[in-house]
Amino acid sequence: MFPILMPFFQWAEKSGLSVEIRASTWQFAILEMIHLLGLTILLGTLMVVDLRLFGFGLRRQRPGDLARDLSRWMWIGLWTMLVSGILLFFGEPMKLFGSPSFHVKMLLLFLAIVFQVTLFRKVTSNRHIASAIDKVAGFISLALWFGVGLAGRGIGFL
Amino acid sequence: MLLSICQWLQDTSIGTGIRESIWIFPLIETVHLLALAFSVGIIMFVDLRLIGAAMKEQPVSEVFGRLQPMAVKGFVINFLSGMLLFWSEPLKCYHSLYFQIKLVLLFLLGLNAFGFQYFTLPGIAVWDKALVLPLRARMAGWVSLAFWVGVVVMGRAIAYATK
Repeated sequence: MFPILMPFFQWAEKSGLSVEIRASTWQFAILEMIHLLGLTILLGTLMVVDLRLFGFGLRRQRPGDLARDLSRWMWIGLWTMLVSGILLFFGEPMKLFGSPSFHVKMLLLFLAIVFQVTLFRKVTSNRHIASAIDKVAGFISLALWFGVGLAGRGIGFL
Repeated sequence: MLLSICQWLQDTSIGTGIRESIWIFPLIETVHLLALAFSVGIIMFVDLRLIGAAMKEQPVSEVFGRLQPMAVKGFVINFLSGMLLFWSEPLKCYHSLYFQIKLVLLFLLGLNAFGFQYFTLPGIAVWDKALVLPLRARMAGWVSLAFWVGVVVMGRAIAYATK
């Protein structure tokens, strides 16, 4: 990761919060479990909404209405992941500083969030009939978020 | 008996191969993890509809009829990848309390789903569009949510098994 960020990671490693989280294996494990439940909610919601954009699943509702209906669950999942993820970060800052998977994950996370609140929102707020754009948006959304998940699991290995 | 089966599985070439490969085990584990979105992440919305926490304007038959078949496909991915993970470390699983709890929860989830499908669902015409569903349907939703949370938590805990 950018060397300029090094002092931040070092500060995080020395912080009281970091020491506190590293104090017990189970604290870290419980945070991981919460992170995983957040993933299930977030990716589950995106699956239902994005597959609808492809024409599968809850076809009674228009994609835009479904996306609005379920957006609350997407945010519940995302916030659960962000809060538990920040605490997990404090559990091992210097390891993450040197982890290529973590760098890729942060980049994809940034892109995924930006895409979700800009272009994706624009496509699903479109009340016109289904178009090819819907499928492209659904595909990009799934690819970015599953990429985040893949890179996240990769942290354990690389 | 179970122990000797686990011991035998552990020593098969497939079990050993997955366990000792640098890439195959992590790869299967990643598939197992991400398929959560496809199985639990989707069935969760059926449960949320049953307890009245999501998609209340949609008929239960629509939510269940459309989402349950998708979730079952996701569960097949979870099941197959889970079998391979088990195959690679059956002895560790055999001795893991978390693994045992996970299996019991999965069995109970199966019973819950069976009971819902064959005993509760046939009466759906009366409450298909209701905002508040009969207690039996709500209970099925709560049980499913709670036990799936347990399955995910126990699944993660297996990795922390004491040797």
